[in-house]
Amino acid sequence: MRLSVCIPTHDGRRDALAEALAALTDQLGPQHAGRVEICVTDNASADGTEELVARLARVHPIVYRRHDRDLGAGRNVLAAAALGAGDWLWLHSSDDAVVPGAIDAVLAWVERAPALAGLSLGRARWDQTMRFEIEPEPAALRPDDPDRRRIFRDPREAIAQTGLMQTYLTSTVIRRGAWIAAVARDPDRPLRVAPNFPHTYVVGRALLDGAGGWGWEPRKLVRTRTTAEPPPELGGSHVAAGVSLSTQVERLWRALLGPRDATLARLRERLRQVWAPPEWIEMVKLGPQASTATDLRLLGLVRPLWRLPRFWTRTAPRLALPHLLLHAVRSARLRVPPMRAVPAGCRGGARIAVEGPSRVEVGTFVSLRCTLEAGDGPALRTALPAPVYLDVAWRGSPDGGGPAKLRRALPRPVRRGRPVVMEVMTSAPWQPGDHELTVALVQEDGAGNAIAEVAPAHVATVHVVPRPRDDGFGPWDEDPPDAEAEDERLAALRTEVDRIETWWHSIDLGGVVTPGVKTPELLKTEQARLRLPDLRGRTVLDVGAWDGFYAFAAERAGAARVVALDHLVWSIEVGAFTRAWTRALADLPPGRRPPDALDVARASDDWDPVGLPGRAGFDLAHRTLGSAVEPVVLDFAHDDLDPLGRFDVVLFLGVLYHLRDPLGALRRVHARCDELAIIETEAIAIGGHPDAAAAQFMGTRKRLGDPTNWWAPTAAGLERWCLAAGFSRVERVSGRLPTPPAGTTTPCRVTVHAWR
Amino acid sequence: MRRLRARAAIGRVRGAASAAVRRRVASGRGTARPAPVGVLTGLDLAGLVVLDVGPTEGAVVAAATRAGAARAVAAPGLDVAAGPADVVVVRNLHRAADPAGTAWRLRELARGVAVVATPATEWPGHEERGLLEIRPGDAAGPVAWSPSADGVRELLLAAGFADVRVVAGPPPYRRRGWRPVHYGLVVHARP
Repeated sequence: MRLSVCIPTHDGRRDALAEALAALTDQLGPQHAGRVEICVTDNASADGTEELVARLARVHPIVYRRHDRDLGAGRNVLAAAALGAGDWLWLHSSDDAVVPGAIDAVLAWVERAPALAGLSLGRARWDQTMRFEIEPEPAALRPDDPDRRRIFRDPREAIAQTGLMQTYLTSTVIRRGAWIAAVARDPDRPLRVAPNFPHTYVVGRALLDGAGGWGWEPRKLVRTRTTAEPPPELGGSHVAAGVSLSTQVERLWRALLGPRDATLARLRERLRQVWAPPEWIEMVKLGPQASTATDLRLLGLVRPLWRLPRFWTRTAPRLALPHLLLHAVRSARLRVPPMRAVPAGCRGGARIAVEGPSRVEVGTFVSLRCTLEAGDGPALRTALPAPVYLDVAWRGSPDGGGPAKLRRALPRPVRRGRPVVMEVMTSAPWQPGDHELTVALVQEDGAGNAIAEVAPAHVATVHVVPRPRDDGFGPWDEDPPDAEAEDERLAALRTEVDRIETWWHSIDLGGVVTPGVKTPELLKTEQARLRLPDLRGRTVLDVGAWDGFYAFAAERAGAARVVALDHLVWSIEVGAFTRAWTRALADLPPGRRPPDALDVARASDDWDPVGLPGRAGFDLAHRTLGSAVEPVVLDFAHDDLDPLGRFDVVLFLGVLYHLRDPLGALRRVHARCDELAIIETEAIAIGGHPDAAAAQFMGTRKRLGDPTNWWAPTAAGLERWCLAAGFSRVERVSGRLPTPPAGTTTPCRVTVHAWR
Repeated sequence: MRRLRARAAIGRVRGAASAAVRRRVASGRGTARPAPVGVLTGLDLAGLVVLDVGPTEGAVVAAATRAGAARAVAAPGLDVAAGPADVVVVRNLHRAADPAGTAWRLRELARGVAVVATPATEWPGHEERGLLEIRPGDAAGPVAWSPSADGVRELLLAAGFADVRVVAGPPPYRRRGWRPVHYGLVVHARP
């Protein structure tokens, strides 16, 4: 089996190409003789690439072809693939690099699964100097279960899951026969449809023509260089490049799949999350070059986004209306008062308070909570002629390369006594060291030019530390999956999953998702709402784990130790408890109060705190995932918890409202917690009293008829409980709460972070 | 002229009384706590055992003795109470860390009538929601509760009492404005 690594390069990439070739040739040994070749096609570069390759080709199996003129990126990619003579083609960008052992990993794949059409490789993002790994790309870029090796048999499923990864050259390995057959259908079509992504079109074409399955290798075999400057031919800015590329990609998928294909809709959704979100357009509009012409051009560039209602309700009005109105006014030669700065005396004590981390890792996202208060002066307005914006900027990066300044519009005018809280996300610099972060309120003249600083800027020093490097991966510890054995494994797993009467959580066991009452989409929303911190290296206690979704998620997130604790739902199956409860109600003499749910469960014949019939789901998931989560059977409300010890993070999710003594339970959480407790509970919002600190006791009027429901606090009530339990600080993270009309209440869910 | 002056004097008195009541209700700090003897209003204590649980003041014990109770004792808390009694008066529910647990314990101790007297908060428009206001604690406890009448009713019904009656409830109030009303609540409950 022969592998050809195909590298198209162009002028100016000599140094990056040298690094890429070094990463490849360093891992070639005698065992690769005759099995691996490197093919380089050069778009008429004049930076010494020819000499570099010639020198390396004396020692290594490198084939070089130089074009007399620049053919363009797309044609160069096709030429590089055509130069390869192996059975498999590994497309490779000239500014990326591979980790040690990557060639052996790919060879193992293609030798074990020769019938595949190809595979996509996991990648990590590195900074421009290839010294630091930075924040991973959005999850939408990778398949749904990115940490598991998979083979997608259905071509549309393969495209839906790995379509975005297929746009990256270095992550794509394809069987040469499949490539040739796909190109031969119409040699010019890939370039017509997607000039910058002909390889993506060819891969999609090969899959739809039935060339075979498509694999996914989760290990990050590729290191992708993140460029600071976007290609000049794509508009000269990241935003313009993003919308241009996203337009091409969307067009090529439409050409492959058809305009109404369900797979196309799934791909569009992923694309929307990864490239050219409407917020980018807002950033450009607020920049100094904003003008009517720019706005209209941007509207045209983002045609793929026109289908999104959010684009028209949020972005387009911000783009078009103010400038069109101003243009119309100026055209009519009406007298418009000149733009003026707010006189110093009128600024009147406006203040900014910023909460954010003082220590971050390079390239990670930094979340800032900015509280804006107007002083005694006029309100901070958001409308023309002199709107006020929030500016976030980094200073002090020694070699530059930091993130661009962020400018955010205020959601509403800031008046005295009505502060505005804004959550702003910015990227940390790519260089470690101490950096100055400045948050300022700036008044501009409507054309993007700052004319006055309205409040004293908040300046903080943030210590940026490097991320731990991953110098490759360990020894080969798992073979690529065998397709038939995989099918048998999945069938057996499905049978085991179906045997369990009730699943509460939907957990992906590797090809089979358990049919939980909480669907995967609901769990994804819930998990996002929790705003889990970085769990790497930390100890986590999950109280009320049930089937263990959050315990396994904490383990996947890198927690050093995870303990899953439960008692009631593990000692009796939900169905058996429901039957016992129904019988107890039926046998109840008239006029007697309903019994306690826990007493009914314990009195039932199905109560088995030793055999733990309700833990079958957790045990199956634990076994299948090869998890190291420690299950502990204890009654959190009554048993002695001291033997457990203390944990850095305690997850207390969906438990509080089931306990009759909530304050006592929170005290127990505080006693087990070393740093942070995340508490999520059923709650209520009281109409007319949005800040009321209260709780509803469900003695005889149970929510949804659940006999185990007792309390539903308001958000302020929960915060007060946490403070009474001993926590030093409580922060509500659940976002906006409902505001029912006066005289009514609305149930909701509230999440708080409580620090010890 | 004399009539005008008289009317003005009456108005001043009325106004002063209304203003004082309004200040007391609006502040929430000086909540109208019922006088201890009022909690036994309407109860025939002849020959019964009365247990008074709460800050020891002695007034309830003295009043019960005068009313003919066979025995009247005071205890600082339900958990240290001597034993069951025919009439159990609880005056510190608002200081209980676990009000539901207190109601359950009360059900265990009260053979006849349970009397609950507590500062209360009524939320206009939400009278039947079972709400309990949570207030910051102090030296006496980590939190202070100010339950609504329905909140106390739900606690007692869930604990097993069958008949719960409000003896001293909220004063008449207007819903306009929707502000909470603070008052002293007295509830009698029977199994």
